[in-house]
Amino acid sequence: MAEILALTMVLVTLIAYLAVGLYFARYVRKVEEFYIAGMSLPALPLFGTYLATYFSGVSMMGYPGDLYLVGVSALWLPVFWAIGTILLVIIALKFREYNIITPVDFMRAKYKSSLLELLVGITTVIALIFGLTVQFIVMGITWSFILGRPFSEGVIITALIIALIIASGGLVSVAWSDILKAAIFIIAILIGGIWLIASFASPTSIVETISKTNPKLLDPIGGYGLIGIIFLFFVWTFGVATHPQYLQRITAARDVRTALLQYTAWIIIALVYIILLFMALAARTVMPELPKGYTKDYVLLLFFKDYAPSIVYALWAAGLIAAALSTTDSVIQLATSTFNINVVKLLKPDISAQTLLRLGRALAFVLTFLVASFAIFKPAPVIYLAGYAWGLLAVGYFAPVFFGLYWRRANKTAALASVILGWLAFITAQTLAIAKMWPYPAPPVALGVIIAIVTFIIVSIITKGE
Amino acid sequence: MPQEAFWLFTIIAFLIFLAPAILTIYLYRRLSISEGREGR
Repeated sequence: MAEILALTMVLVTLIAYLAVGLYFARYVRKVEEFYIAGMSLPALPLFGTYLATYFSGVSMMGYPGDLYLVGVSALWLPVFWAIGTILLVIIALKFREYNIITPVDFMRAKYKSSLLELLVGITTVIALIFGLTVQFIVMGITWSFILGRPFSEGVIITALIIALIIASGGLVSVAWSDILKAAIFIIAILIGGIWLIASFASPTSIVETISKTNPKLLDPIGGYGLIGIIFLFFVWTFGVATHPQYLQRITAARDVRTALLQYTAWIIIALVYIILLFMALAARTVMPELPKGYTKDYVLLLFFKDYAPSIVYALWAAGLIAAALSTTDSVIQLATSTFNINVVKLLKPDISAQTLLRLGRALAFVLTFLVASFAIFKPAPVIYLAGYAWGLLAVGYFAPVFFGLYWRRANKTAALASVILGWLAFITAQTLAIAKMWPYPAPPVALGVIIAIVTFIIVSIITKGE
Repeated sequence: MPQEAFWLFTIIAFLIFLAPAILTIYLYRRLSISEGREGR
């Protein structure tokens, strides 16, 4: 019964996303509309697409899993994401002063460097694509766990929906259908939260039980330690502040005030993070240990399956797929734009607008099914490279964008040196870390970001007057 | 004692989560006021 309800809910929502995407594709005629929604996105779709892109399958599966394992100290992750977003709001105030289509265009507009544009452009596409495999895995896991159907079937069906949405109307279709996706996972979390408080246990009684059985879970510093928390700050804050998927949404807005409004989504996000905290702790009270064969990512799925009514469980399934799908289509749309505008158009400047548009639609299919195949076959190099994705973006964007907007001395030499040295430091440290030869407690991303920032400042001062 | 630390941390974290929205609303109003002045 629960399976049929969940399958119906998932299929109905998938068809609804596709229908909304195809409907709004009617308005897409020009290249700018496909790639950046004509830079005229109104407040509602912008709010929806920011919320849907920000909140991914990782937030709905990975973060509650961490809360279950290490307790309340996992709240530091969203704390740093929020601090990163404060920096993003400050960036949004000035980012629209440059006339650009993709975030990488900023490198050309500000620093007048094709080399920087090409370097950051190619790295962005690679990092986005490899980083996405995990979202398809979330969709496949949900499909096979809840519906009892093959993992690859879930991946292929969701990939088809994603490719059709992007290819039909680019960012316009992604943004408008994101309103619906965000609504589905927010409803799933709210209904789950109401069920938890009304029928399972109140937050105070959950905390009371945990304090008796496992008080360590209530310690804010917890297993990370103070040094670990400081390094996590460097890993997460700067990556969120200038992630190209958020920079793209600043440019897509109708004007700067509309661009700012998207961040009011944090009123909802704040509530969601607190609800997930109590869900994960409640799961820990009844499941002190994970059942054999399951990782932490399955915690809330197992909890809802065993304790919640079918409708809550079915909604949770649809919500999980909505969260993963909305991040995936946004990122593939961004990778498509970046590749066509910053690589193809840079190397072949006389390409016609119509060809660029057709190329965008075709590439949406190619990239979507490429990532889907990574999720199904899990080739070792891809899983290995996925570990580099977040760091490459954090290191490559933060210093050039932030200083480029707010520091008059920022220049081309500083931007190139910062990006190259930052990447070299990060790639070396990450490679050693994967080989278990990295002796320092600093995460490689933190090292890369610090080196990129320091290099940027020093080179800008040395090359004064350039 | 662990319970008090938990609640304090959770409330502070919640306030930090609200900070981007509060900053946004403040900047939005300031921009609206300055645009209004230019309009006149």
